[in-house]
Amino acid sequence: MQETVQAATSAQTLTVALIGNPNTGKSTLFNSLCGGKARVGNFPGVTVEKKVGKYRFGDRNITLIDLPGTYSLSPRSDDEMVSVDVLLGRKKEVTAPDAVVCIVDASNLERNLYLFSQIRDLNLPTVLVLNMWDVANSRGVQIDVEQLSERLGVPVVTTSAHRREGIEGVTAAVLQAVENPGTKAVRLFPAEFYDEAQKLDEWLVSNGEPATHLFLRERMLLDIRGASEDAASQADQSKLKAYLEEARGRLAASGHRIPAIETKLRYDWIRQQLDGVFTRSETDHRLSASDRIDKILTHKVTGMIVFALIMLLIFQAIYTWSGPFMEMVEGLQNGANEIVGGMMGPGTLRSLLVDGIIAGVGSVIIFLPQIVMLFAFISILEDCGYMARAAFLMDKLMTKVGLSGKSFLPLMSSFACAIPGVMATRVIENRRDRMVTMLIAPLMSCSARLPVYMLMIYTFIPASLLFGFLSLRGTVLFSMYAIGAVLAIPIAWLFKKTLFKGETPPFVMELPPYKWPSPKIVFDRVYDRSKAFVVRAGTLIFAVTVVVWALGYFPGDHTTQHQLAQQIETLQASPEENAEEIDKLSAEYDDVSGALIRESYLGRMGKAIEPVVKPLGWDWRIGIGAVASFPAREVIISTMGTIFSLGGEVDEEDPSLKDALSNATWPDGRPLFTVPVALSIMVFFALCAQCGATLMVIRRETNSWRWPIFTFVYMTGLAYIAALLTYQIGTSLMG
Amino acid sequence: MSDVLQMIPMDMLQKNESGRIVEIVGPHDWKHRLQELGLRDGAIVRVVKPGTPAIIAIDGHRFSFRSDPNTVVLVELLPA
Repeated sequence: MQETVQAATSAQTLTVALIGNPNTGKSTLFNSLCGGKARVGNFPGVTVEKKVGKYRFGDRNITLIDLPGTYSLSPRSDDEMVSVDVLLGRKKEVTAPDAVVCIVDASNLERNLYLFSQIRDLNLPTVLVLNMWDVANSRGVQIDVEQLSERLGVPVVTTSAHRREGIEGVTAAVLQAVENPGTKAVRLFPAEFYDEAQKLDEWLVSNGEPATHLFLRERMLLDIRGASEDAASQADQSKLKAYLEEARGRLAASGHRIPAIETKLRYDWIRQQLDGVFTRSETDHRLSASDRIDKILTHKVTGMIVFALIMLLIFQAIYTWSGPFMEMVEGLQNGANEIVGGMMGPGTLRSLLVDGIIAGVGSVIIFLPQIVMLFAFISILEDCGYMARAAFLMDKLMTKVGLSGKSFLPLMSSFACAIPGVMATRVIENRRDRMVTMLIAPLMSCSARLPVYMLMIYTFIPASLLFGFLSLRGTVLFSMYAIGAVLAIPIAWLFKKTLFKGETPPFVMELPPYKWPSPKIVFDRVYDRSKAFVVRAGTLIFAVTVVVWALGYFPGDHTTQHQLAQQIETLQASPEENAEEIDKLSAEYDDVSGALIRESYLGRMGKAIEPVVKPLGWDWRIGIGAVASFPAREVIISTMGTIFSLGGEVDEEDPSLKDALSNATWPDGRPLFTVPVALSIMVFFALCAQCGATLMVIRRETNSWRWPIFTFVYMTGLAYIAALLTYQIGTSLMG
Repeated sequence: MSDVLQMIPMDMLQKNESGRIVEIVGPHDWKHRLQELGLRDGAIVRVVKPGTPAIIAIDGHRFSFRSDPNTVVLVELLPA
């Protein structure tokens, strides 16, 4: 029998777990305690973010573990199980906590104490933090804190974390709780229930599962088909399920129906604890400021208009503000090329550095500004509370295809990146709806597609105005983002009608009060997500770039090419006198380079696939780009950068890919890129499933290879057909 | 029970009407989830915005609410 969790840390260092309902200001409290110094990782095998911060308090080192916001400790999934495992010290990656800080919204104690009452069953030193104290006071909520602390048997602290008020008191209270562990957990349940928990222990021991924490056994009894059953890994799962059924049957026979008994008893207990301690002087009939905003933002007409305007604004802003940043990155690229050119003469190594690495990685990093901006907008909308309203608005639309508003958030996140989007589908309780949402999430235009759109738009779409006020380029960008989302509607409907038949799921979601977004939280999120993008650009893209460069460089003989380059560079020391000579040699150089790339391994592969991509208006170089970008969409940019740079189509004066594409031609001299070609490339990339990481995440989430393969096949087919239509119709329209 | 005025499904409440939750009838796991969110027996619900989905207020919190066809939240109508 192991009734208490062993404290694993010395007196000098304390490990504290922080837990609370969603929207109680938990992140704000975490940041004020740790001063923003936190290590963010992931628990292996699940999608729960592991956030650990450290700070000093007097002579103590405190390690703070931030657990995901939750309404209860009834683990229904492996994700929710993580919090229980951490609290019970069953996770190897984190030390068992010495204390728990449970943060609640002071004006909503009746509901928030539900989680607290479950935490008390863990028998750990616990502190209750009544956050948003200032808001509660202004709402006329009065709480006798001392009396409440006495009744609950734990220290109670009041804070207003967003104003940094009362933060010091939290750690002081933790120390107090650790030093005087105080009362044992309240035994809310009837004696029969504890007898069953005891019997379950005996049953588990006899089935080879020794020493299960009482809390886990209680959860096994209370949560039908819950995740806590998996904790008994030694016992036979089907036997355990059968035994739990029997035990629940026995309890029901004695008048204690599971799971209704839990909510009833806990809420009864909360009512007793709060009786005479918690008063609300005013009823809740007054319209709050949030309600007044909601009158407009959740209205079916004005709400939709505002929603559409916000989306349009985001895309226009991303487009217009990122120009100067892009020029800056281009400048850096030029500088790097000059440094390399100054250090060594033409040769294989210089070609690798200039044509391979700088051209490849540079052409991806150039899009970092837009990606940062997109992440910033999404984080701001999440943090100020608008995202929940967007889900509310979208519920009407989602029910038409048989999904609920809950599917909107994962889809919206997928506009930043499909990986967190697919992971976010875990908030959807119903398996069928989760599957459908997961399969359409990659259709949303993620940030990796943005570089492709930007390059094509920037190079081929004229900077004119539509109707005199909308930028044509911004509108094309918006259309590219819309195409996947629009097509997702019939596809989702089709999936719900065929593969995943089922009723429309219910939709109950909290709408947090609006607040000004916290710069710190937004900055952290943007930083983490952008860092992930840069790391990808730095590793995966770098590797692919080098491979593509090698395939495009070998097996040709580059002696003549390097000699020509050397001659040109010598003559360029005095360009005026040698202008003619330079022009002649440059043309010769371009011919030689073009021939070399056509003969290379890459050229041969490209020629082989050209018939397939020709109907889309593509030549072999674009085809190779599309094939090479299978691991990640943004690779197409670096691949094209490398191919066109090796082919000598990149002007010495201006090494940007943009100019190379504008100058590219078919062998008969026709320009390779026309507006329909640019559009067909964009449409293809808007709809294809060129992202190995997303497919791997779908595999992990569905636990089978079937669905990632299915996703890849249906999306690639869709992309090909749509690109074909775009090019053919576009060409016939343009004459 | 107090003198119950009338028991009606929650979705029949008009704008700004309040009701006290008497019982939730439906599949037990979904019921449990609703109760953890705060739709517990005895809680007072006010309809902020009727419709599907509706916006309801419980203890000063706002929720979007659209139930599944098999679940009914029964409330007793409270006098305004």
